[in-house]
Amino acid sequence: MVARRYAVSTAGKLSPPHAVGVPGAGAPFVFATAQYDSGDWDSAPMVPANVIDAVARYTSLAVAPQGVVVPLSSEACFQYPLLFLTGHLPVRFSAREVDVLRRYLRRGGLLFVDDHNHDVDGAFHKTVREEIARVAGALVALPKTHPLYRAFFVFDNGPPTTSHEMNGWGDNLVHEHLDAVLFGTRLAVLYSNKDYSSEWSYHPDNKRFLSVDNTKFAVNLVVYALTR
Amino acid sequence: MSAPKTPDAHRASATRTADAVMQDVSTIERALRTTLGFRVALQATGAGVASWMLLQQLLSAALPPSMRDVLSPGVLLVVPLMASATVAALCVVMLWRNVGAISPVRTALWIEEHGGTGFALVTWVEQHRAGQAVDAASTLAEVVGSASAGALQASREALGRLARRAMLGPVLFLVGAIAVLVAQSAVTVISQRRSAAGRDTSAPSGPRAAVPLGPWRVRIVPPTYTKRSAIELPDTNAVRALSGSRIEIVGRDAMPDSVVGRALSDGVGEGDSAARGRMVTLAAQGSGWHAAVTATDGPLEVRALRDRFAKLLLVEGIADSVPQLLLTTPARDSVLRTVTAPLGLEATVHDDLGLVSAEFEVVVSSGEGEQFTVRTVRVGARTFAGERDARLRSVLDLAALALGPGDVVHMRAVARDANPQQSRGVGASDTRSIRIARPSEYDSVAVEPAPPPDVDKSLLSQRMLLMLTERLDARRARLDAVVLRSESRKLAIDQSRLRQAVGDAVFQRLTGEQGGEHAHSVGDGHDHGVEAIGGKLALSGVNSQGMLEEGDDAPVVAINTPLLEAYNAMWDAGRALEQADTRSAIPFMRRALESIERARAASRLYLRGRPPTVIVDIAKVRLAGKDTSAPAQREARSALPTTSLGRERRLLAAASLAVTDARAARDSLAVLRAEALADAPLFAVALTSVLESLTAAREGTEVTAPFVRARRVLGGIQRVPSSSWSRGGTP
Amino acid sequence: MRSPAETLARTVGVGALLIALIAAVTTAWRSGDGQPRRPNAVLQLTTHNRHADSAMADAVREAIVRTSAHTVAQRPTSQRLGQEAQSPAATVRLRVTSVPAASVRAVLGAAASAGVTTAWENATGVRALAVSVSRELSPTRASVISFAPTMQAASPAASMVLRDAGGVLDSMPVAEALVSSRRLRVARLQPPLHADVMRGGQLVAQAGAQIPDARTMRRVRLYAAPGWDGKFVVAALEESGWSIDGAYQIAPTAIVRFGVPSTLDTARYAAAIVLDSGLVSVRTLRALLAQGGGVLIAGNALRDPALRTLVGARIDEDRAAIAGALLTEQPRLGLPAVHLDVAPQATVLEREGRATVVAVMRRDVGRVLVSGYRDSWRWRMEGNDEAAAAHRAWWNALVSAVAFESVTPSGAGIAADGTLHDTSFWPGDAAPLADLAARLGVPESLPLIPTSPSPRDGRSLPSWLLFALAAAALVCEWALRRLRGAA
Repeated sequence: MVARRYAVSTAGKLSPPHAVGVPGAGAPFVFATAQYDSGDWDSAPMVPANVIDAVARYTSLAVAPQGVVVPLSSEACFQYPLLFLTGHLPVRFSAREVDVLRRYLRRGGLLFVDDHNHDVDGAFHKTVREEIARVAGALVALPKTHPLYRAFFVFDNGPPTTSHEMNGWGDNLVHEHLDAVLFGTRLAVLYSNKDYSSEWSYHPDNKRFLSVDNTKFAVNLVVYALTR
Repeated sequence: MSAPKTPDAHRASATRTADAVMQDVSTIERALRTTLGFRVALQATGAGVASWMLLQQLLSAALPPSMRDVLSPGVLLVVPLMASATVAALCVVMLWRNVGAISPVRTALWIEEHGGTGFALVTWVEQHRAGQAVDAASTLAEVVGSASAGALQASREALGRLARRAMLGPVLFLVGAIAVLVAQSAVTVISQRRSAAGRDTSAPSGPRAAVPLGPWRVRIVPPTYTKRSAIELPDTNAVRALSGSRIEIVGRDAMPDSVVGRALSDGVGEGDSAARGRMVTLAAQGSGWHAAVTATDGPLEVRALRDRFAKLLLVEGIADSVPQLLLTTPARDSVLRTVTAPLGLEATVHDDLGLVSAEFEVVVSSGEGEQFTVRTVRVGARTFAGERDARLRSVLDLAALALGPGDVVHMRAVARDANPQQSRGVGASDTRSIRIARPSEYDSVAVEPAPPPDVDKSLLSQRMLLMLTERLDARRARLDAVVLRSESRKLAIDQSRLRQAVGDAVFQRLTGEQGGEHAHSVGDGHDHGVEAIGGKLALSGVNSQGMLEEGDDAPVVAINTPLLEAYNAMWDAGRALEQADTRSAIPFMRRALESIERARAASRLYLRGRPPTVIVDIAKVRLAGKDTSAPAQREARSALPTTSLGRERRLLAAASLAVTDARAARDSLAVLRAEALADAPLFAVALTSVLESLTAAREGTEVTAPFVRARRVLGGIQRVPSSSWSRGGTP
Repeated sequence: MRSPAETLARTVGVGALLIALIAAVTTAWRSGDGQPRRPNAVLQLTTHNRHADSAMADAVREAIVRTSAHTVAQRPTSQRLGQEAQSPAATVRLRVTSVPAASVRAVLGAAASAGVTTAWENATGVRALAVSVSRELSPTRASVISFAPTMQAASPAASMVLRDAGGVLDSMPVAEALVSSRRLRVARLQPPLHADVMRGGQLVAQAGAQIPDARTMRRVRLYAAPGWDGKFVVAALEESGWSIDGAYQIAPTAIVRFGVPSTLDTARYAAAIVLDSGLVSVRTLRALLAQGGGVLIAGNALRDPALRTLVGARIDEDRAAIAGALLTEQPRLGLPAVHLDVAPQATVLEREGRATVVAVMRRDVGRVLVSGYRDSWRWRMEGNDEAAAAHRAWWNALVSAVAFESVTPSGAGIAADGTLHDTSFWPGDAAPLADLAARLGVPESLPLIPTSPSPRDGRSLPSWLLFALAAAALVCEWALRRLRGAA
């Protein structure tokens, strides 16, 4: 019922046999933020709304108007195959969180982790990388040619830079690539030092003041998760 | 014309003639005997040679190699020789009868065949042999005398032809047999020389027969940090060793051509062997040789190769575990208003080999927004002398940390063992955190973007109300009824206010309305997901999922069920208090308090107040973006590797190999087992029993059962119920 | 005045004639009435001439029709009218003395399908066991062994052993194999395959089967909206080894393609999966079915009225997901689903109580599968630790149930002009007795009842007695003539 109301069906625009999948039938995409016991998981409260806005703005995907927060220690995580995790403070997953996250990733979930400190020496960076290695394995650099960068918009130079990188905040570095844990060829964990949490944490209504929409990469992330 | 002879003269002449004829016949008889005797001898020799060759072939074909090794070469030579001599002797005995049958009469008859004297000679010889008086004057004598000369002459010529004819066949047979014999021996010699030459080229160091590698000794030298002594094992094909151990193989026989190491960690056992190749050092040592390899975390295969032989050593590497820690005190996270007493820390530590050091790591993070500072303090550091289990205790002086409001202290215990490898990290316990509360959290006026959570306020008030009610209930017997009713009604009013506050929390979450406790009834035209039935609230049917739909006045938010329960329990408590029935109000109040606590546990309190809720107007922004996209083709996922299929194929290959070469099958299975150890332990166990039965197996022992069991464990065989649909049903 | 001798002769003659008449009438009455009191006659099936197959089939069909009509006619009218629909029309008893040809088996199978209860006895003397191997229609190409003992009254001690070159695959008592037909799925079969029936350590019967070659599977076309269900269905099938083609419309001008989506025909595709409505026309799916392809319609696509006409199924009722069921032994109860009302010719693959959830049916020469489950991705993500593998295997089985497979008759039977001159490719010809068992059920031991009355039947008078009576009457007649006027 919810889905029907939000959906904008484009059915019938293409005729068979070249008909393609159109939105409008399944449950809408719900953006989920992971809540963990340690640290400040809710440091970027506006990111979900901004990502949802971008997805609705550029795609015809069915999307829920508001995100959800889901505890990492709860199996409710499994209802959301794309999870967003951010924070400034040291991250130490509890045994329960490790267990749930491990199962989540093995079953096909994708965890997007962003360092809100944009600092390679920061507490979040050091601890969360340790925790990811403990849960899923070592992070490796994701090449700029990865399909993620062409899932919807084309980012020839890899992940788009953020204003925080350009302003020299944090570690005063422009990070060339994102890191990832790959299960075979499947992306299981995507890790960013680029502080998209700050970059996207503004009210979506203010997007009209930007000359270039900086949330387009979020659309790639969502489309990649939904289709790959 | 000659003058007629007298009878005496005739007799004398006849006698002489007769004697001469008899002598000639005897000569021819001897010649015949000699010729046939030679023929018999040749035939017997030929038969002997042929039977010897035949026996040799039969023996080499029919005798199993083991018997051939047991029997001495002399026996192998003498037995066919004796047999062939027997055959030859039998030949002589059987054929000699023809020779023995030759008599003067038969000789005369033979001469007759060539001379044609009208059987006079035969008659003459017969009479002569019979000892009858020979009438020299008889016609017979005359005939013999006159005709025998020619016949004898013809017979002598025929004798030569006979000798040639009789000898030809046996001689040819004999020559042929000897030729075959010679050719056979020549072929054997050439092939032997050729194989000898081949060996010489493959092993230029000197003439050496291809022999398998002899027994070796295996020495396991554990890593130095473990301070454990080396272990020496006799000839073995599989060892278990700690990762980093040095495995030394010492052989006493000739050095192998090469020793190759290979990691078996990926469970497939084929493919990129170069990437998984392990460096093995090989060197001569005295009269023998010495090879060494370092054990890894996974299984490792070491093969010593010489000529066409290989010998296998499987090294099952065991990883050194990082220390395991359990932080027992503090038991849970907490929020402190002020820092008062020192904090006790306690943890248990365990390591598989031995501990070196342990400590508590305390991380203090301060600040807010974008300004954060992080300090790390280490307390309770302790060193160990290789103990495997220990308890770590310390006291954290929180006052010394100079904590300010909003600071968070993260504590965990960390421990190290002696393993020098840095990349494997340290053992660490779970982390506990202590937060120092901000004053604003307790102020009546919040300066943060959002007020302090209502839930927290409810909790305190409800607990207070409960305590007051319990106290009133205790004094109930001593109080006047009017006073009791008045006190109770006050509590009821407080309870009602609190209920309305909680109701606000419920409705605020639903609709964003403040003070939203207004008339809700079934079918009132706007659905909030709850409906008021007799003063209580209940989830309405359409929202049993806890989700509301957009379009009305309610955004999509989860309904807080515990708060709803608290609201209803408070309603019951309030009604009981209005009737001054404090006793029956207490259980409802307790239930309300419990529900509020559950609600508090369910929604974590936000440090800086609740973030503003933004609900995107999807319809408004839908497809408003002007940027165009160019999505790329989706690449297909690769099929999951069918490891078990490959393993089954190798198991079946080993099973068929077990019939012909049990040693090779054992080696294959040992490698397969080592590979399966990590990801298919049950299959590895099944393979162990196959290996054991193969090792214990003697000639004719049945080893099928363990093979079948191992195949079953792989799970490739399963009974499926037959379905009415020809393609089968769903699993 | 008659003499006493004449009176005696007349009395004897009339008596004999009367007795003969009574005997004749009795015999005639019994011959008309006796037949229905015995069990049905047993049809004998004997033919050795392959060219007489169709004639034999005609004869069998006529015999069945006659027996059925006769049995129905014998029933009281009330029973005929009231119970005809419920009770089988007739019982045909069949003694098979030679291996029946394909056309005969087809007639018998059709009769059995039409409700004619058929009991049969294997009197061919072939105490055999049939075993056949087929390849699963999925990329794993596992072998599926079906076996059917065609012997009856097997002693309890007899056991059946299936083995290949790698050793024993399975064994079970023959009695068990007789009552419940089972199949064996073997991931990797090592030829040769043998099935032995052993009794007391002795080989009673043996069967072997050729293992068919594994053919390359065609691709699968997916019609789905972008979302978690489409993503995880594609993932499950691709992880199983299927190649999937499709396209997701992400935005009006943005399409994410996977594989090489092209015209839907059996040259390229084994099956089409439709998860959402409005993405493919019924005409396209019909064309695929007409070529022998498979169509799988699941989830929200079942609500498409156009597709509903194709599948012969309609939604009976909605069933909400049962909370917590994803972690139980019946995880699919944890998925939201619709209960289906399917056409009578459909085969139900999954039920929930009495309600149908998954059904499959033939349409033209193709196959259509309908699955009432929605959001199956939740099973993979929210189920237990084995859920991902189970979800994969389930989708694999669904597609295998309808996937197209090219059937090529053996080359020996094809003439140069492409016509078939040999019927050896008929299904079941490799093991005709087992095929008959599959159509009619397990053979039984029928009591030996002759179709003609026995000459030693005590209840009817023997013919020699009738002859003696008639002769006695004749003698009496002659005596009467001689004695006339003797007095």
